[in-house]
Amino acid sequence: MPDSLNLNSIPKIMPKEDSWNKVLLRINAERKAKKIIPFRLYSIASVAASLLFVIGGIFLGISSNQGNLDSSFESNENVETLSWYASLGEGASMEEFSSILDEYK
Amino acid sequence: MNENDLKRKLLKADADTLSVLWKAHSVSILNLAFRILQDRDAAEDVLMDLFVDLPKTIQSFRGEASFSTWFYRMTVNACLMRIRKSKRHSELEELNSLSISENIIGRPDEVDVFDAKLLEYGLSSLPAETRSMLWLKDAEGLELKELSEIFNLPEGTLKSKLSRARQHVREILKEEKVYA
Repeated sequence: MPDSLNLNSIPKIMPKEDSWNKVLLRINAERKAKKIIPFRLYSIASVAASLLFVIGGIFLGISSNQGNLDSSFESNENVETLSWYASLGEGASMEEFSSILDEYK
Repeated sequence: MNENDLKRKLLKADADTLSVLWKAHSVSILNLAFRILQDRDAAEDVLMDLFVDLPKTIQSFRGEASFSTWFYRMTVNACLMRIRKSKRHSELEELNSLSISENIIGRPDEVDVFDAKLLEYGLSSLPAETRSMLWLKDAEGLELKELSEIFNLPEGTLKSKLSRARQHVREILKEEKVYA
C-alpha cells in the first residue's frame, strides 16, 4: 500500500528466555489438576450420596413412627366410641330421665 | 499439519504442537500485545496466558479463518479485555507516552532510532484498537480481509480508520520533527 507507514523500522521485542518454560510448567500443572479434579468430584459425590442415605434413613424412621402414633390414636378412639355406645342407657342420667317420665305420667 | 489435526493435538495439550506454534507465532503475538498494551510485562503475560489457555480456547476455532488470523483475534480481545479491567490504564498510557517522548528528545542525533522512536510515539498516541489495526496492517502485513475477520468490521470501515490513523501519526511526526 503506497500510503502505509514503515512500522517495520520499529524494533520488535522478543519473548523472554524463560517464557516458554513457564508456559510448559503451567500447562503441566493444569494437566495434573485435571486428573485430580475427577477424584475430588468422586469423593464429593460419595459424601453427598452417604449424606442423602442418612437423611433418607432419618426421614423414613420419623415417618414410620408417625404412622404408629396415628394408628394408636385411632385405636384409642375406637375403644372410646365402643365404650360410649356400650354405656348408653346406664348410669345416673338414665335414672333422672326415667323419674321425669314417671312424674309426667 | 492441517487445521483439524492442529485442533485435535491442541485439545490434548500436545507439547510438541504448542512448541511449534510458539516458534511460529510468539514474536508476532508478543509485539501485537505490546503495541496494544504498551507494557512489556503485561504483553508477556498475555502471550503466556494465550498459550496456556490454547488447549481450551481452540474449541472456539471453527476453521473459517486461518489459525493465525484467529490467534490474532484472540490476542486483540485478550489485550482489550485487560485494558478494560485495568483502572490504571490511562495513567500507564500517559506515562509510557511521556517516557517515549523523553527518549526521542534525548537522542536526536541517531536518525534511524529517532525515526523509529517517533513512529512509536505517534503510534502510542492512537487508541488501542486503532493502534493494533495499524500495527497488523503496516508491520505484520495482514490483508484487509484478515483484519476484517479479526476486528469484525467491514473492509471499507477499516480502510478509512487506517487512513485516518496514518494521517494522525504523520501529523505527530511532523510536529515532533519541527520541535526536535
